[in-house]
Amino acid sequence: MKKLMMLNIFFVQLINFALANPTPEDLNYYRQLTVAIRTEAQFKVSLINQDVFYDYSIELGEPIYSEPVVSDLPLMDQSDKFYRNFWDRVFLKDGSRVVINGEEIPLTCIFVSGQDNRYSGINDPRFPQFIMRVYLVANDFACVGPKNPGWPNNGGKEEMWDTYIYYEVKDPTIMLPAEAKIRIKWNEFKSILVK
Amino acid sequence: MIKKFALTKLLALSFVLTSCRDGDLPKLSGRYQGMMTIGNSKTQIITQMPDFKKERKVRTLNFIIYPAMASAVGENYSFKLLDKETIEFKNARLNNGSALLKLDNNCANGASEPQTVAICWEEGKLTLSIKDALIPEKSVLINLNLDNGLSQLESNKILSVDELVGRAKFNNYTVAQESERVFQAQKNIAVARGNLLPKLNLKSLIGLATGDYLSAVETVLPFLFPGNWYRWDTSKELYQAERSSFASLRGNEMSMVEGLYYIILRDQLVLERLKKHIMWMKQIQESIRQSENVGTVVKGTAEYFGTSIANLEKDKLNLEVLVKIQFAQLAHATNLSPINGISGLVPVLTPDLSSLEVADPSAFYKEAQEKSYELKSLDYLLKAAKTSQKEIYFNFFDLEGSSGIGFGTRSQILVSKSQQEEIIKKSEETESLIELQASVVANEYNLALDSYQLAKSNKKLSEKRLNWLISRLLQGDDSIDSEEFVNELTDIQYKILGFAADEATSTQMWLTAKAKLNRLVLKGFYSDLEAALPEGPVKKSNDEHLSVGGDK
Repeated sequence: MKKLMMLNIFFVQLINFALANPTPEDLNYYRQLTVAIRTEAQFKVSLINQDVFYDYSIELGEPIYSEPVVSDLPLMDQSDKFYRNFWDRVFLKDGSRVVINGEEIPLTCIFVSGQDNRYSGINDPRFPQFIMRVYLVANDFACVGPKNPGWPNNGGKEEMWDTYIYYEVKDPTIMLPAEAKIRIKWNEFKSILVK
Repeated sequence: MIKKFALTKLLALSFVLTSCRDGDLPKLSGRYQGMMTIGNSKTQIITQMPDFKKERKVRTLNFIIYPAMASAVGENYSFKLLDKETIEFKNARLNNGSALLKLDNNCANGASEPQTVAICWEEGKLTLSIKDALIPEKSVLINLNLDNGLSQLESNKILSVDELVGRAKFNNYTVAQESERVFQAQKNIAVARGNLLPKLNLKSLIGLATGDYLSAVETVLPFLFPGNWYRWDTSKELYQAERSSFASLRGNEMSMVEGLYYIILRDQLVLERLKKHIMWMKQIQESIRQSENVGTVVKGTAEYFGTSIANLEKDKLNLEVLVKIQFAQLAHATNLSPINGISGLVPVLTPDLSSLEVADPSAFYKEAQEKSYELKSLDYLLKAAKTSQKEIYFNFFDLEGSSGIGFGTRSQILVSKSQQEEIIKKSEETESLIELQASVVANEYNLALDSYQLAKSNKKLSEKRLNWLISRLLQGDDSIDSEEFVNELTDIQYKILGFAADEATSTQMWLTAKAKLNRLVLKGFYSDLEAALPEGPVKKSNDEHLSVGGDK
């Protein structure tokens, strides 16, 4: 009989999604994350019998979006937990550049594709609360990308930027770049942070 | 026209003068339905009033009032006419169990402090009130009307399985045509579902939809008299046969309504999950669209993703229509308005199916045979046939009878014996059929348990994979920008939706099998199928209107 005590309600009403709208504090925080990105760093590309170093330095200019763009997404179809994507895009001031083997390439804008996991309901410390995918873009004064908005009808490639530095940040308190790579004229090289 | 009116008035006056004399009680026997009000709560009630029973010079009327619920237990009421002025009223609601009432025209009033009792009657109507001065919320008001049917309830009500099966139980199927309501409902929904299925892309959502519906609402046991058979024959055996047969029909109708109820609940659950799934897909689409706007996803991706949503929307529309049709059919089957009779169903509590033991038909088929109204009915028919054969023999001694023993007697006896043989064979066939049904029901019951385990296990595995995907997403290994990732995420959610629907289908199958099992062994809602049926045949007396204190 005890088994029968474990009653389920057959066909209970399901929970409604409860997506929270981002607060002004949230939006401000996402912008602050962009502002806090390392203004300079040096990376190493390990090739066979040779290490190639490159470094960048940037100075943030005007933001392209008045505030970061956000989008909330429920994790499951029958749950009220969700995570949030946020995107930010800021022009870089003149003088921002990446130096590769002595060659200087101007960096024109920074694009951040971020993920806020704080509303996912998962509090396991192994999961990062924030993930930021950072693009330091060279030679694009319009800062349109990463995808080519008119592709394939307007010709060209699916992606817009032929040269950029990319890395991910999973701990915004120290802004440590991870999973770094550099794309130069469409060639990509995995990189390691040196300093 | 004026002449006709005057004649009606004259007839009405003569009726009042002859039937409602001071101290007289009108003939109350018949089937009544009405409302019982206790405090603010109103309950639909049913009763079958017998004739007054006469013992020495005292007349007694005992009857049971049943709330129109399948599980309801009846409440006993008793009026004893002690003399020309006094009625003893007995009911468990009275603190002292009884009260003496003084007759006053068509009413009887009395008190049993702190309660006061008032009973009033007129042709086809009875009102009973028990007022409690100390606890007013315990006061009871009963209004009964002579009526073979069941009155409509307020429209747009949310009803429970107990209430709806109760309505099926207390519907008075005076002709077979009335009992056809439930069958029509079953057939019409089967047609609706059949029309829906070819269009339904989400076949997995419906689980065993092609077969489960019919098996869910089919009759457990056969009807024995598929005609206009509720005449409550005055022959004792035939009357008992009719009574048992009615109880059998009633049980089948209740079982079908119960089956319908569970199917609608299942479809509603599937529909709700589907709606949530669509809503989630739209959120994903919105997120993809936002990704397009910021340039992380190729333009047109969100639009293409919308085609998957469109297919689901089509399924949702079909399922919504099906649920509406089912609601209408359930309302029709229970004598409610198909348009706005039922606005919702109360959810049902179920045990954890994974911990239940399997059903063994050998453990209950004997009980089903012993309790079977179908076999009882045949047994009474056999007795009636034997009595009829005896009558042929004894007709010889009936001097006033026209059919003595002659050339046709032997043939008559042979026909009668053949009829008895036929009934015996029918009994054997029914016994075997009950055993077969016990086996079928046990298999359905066990299949539901196995299907539930399978669906639960598959759902768990899919959820595990979903959690793995979400972990990847939250770790930053993948993102909504990746088409492969989105496809896998939506695919796995879709599978979970299907397994959840299978789980609901298994629960519905189990509930239906349980209902059939209860129907076979006459338990649960089916434990009192003879409630509110007319009592056995009584000799017709000439005094249609009974008088207080004996014959006048």
